[in-house]
Amino acid sequence: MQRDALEELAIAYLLDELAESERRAFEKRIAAEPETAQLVAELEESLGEIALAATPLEEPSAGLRERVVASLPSPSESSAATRSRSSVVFGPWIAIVGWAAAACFTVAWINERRDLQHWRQAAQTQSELIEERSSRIEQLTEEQTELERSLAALEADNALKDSQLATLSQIEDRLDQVAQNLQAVGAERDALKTTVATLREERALDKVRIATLSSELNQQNFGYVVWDTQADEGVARVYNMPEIDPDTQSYQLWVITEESPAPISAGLFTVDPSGQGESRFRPEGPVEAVKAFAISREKKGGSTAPEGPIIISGQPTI
Amino acid sequence: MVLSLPAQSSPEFRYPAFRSLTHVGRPERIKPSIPRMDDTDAQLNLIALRGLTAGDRAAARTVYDRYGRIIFSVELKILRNREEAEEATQDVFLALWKNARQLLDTPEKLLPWLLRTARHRGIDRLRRQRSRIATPDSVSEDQANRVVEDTDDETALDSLVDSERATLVQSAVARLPEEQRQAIDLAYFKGMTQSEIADQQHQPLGTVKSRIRYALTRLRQELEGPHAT
Repeated sequence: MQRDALEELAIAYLLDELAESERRAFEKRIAAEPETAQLVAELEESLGEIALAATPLEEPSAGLRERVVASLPSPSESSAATRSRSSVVFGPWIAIVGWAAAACFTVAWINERRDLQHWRQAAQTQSELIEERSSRIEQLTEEQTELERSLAALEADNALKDSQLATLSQIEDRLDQVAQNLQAVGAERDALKTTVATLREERALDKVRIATLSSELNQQNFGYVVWDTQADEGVARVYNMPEIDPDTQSYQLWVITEESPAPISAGLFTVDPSGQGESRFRPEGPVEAVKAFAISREKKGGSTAPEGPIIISGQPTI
Repeated sequence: MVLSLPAQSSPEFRYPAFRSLTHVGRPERIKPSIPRMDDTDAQLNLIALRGLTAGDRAAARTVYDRYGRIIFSVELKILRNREEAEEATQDVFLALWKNARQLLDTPEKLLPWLLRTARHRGIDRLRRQRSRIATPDSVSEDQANRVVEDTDDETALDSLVDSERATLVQSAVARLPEEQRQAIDLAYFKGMTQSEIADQQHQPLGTVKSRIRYALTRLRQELEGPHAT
């Protein structure tokens, strides 16, 4: 409905121009529509102000006040008047009114019961609310306790981790120590290796015999022989050997054994002009146990048996 | 933790006649209201209405002291007879005495209710009086139909609002076109329907409706202007 039409309807309502049904319908609309209620209130106020502004203020008679108050019935008078009128005017209808009153009383009693029920429901709802709140408080308290436990566990875990970290640190220290020890052990191992090698070398000398060769005539003539008893071979080195004629003479090395009375030739021996020479040799016959070594001067190309003089000779040391 | 009652309205008492049997002293449910004119007026009205509901005649005297003269003035404006106006005034206060409970939730509407009831009772009496016999209590036609234009004349409005607003309203009313003021006067104080006014003034009904509507809306516009309070 447009604003103008609504305003005209509201004015008709305020001026009591609406039919009963229209008035009730509009009052329902007022109750249901705040905007319409607001419009009616504003128009009513404006209408009232215009009317009052056009109304000269008059003084009623002095006794009107008390007459007005005196005319107001008391609540008991209202009830009595109602009953009186009912008995005088509505004589034949008393039974019907009585039944109606009883029905009204019953309905009022039902309403009263409903009121009590309403208050009971309200109290029940309150109790439920309180119970719900209490349950919620308990739940929150449990959650809080659980959180505190978790916190304690986390703190304990942190303490454990701190302990583990300390242990790890100790382990690292120990590892450093171990590394140092290993290094030391390694050094010892190497030393042992060296020792073992040395010992091995020492054991190797078990099969090596050394003979010093010397001359009875000239102490400057000497030499030595290193003899491998297992390999039956050796090395001879001489020093300051007398000079010989290489065209006609040769030095020759001889091995004298326990088992053979005749010296076994170990080959010719060449020296340089300074009289120094070295020769690796292998006897020309089997050697069981070496008794001595000797170098003689023989004819050029050597001999099958020593014929010349022995220049140097010597027995192997044990 | 604040516990509040469930959002349910209290049950209504449908049978005021039996209230004395069922009422157990529960506190009345009072809706907050925003009175149009003044909060103090609304509070005073509420106190008086509570007293009326309880059958306190002192409350009736209080209401009469506040609004009795106004009601009488309106009734006199309508009925143009002092005796009739006083009887109509009694009718209004009797109606208030019986229906005060309806206004407890909206105390700010007491005066509009009184005015509406006063007009209704006055117009009813006026319509019942088909022939008017002049009595010493009757006021003259000129006096009854006097339109307040002299600001020195005290009006019913002067006794309700402060002088500044009363002056504003009266000035605004004075500026209304004559046909608009006359239409309202005939409708409000003479009890004529808008159709009857249209017939009397030989005007279309729509014109009469528009005049009354313009008068009310124009007044509101003027009062809500920059100078309004």
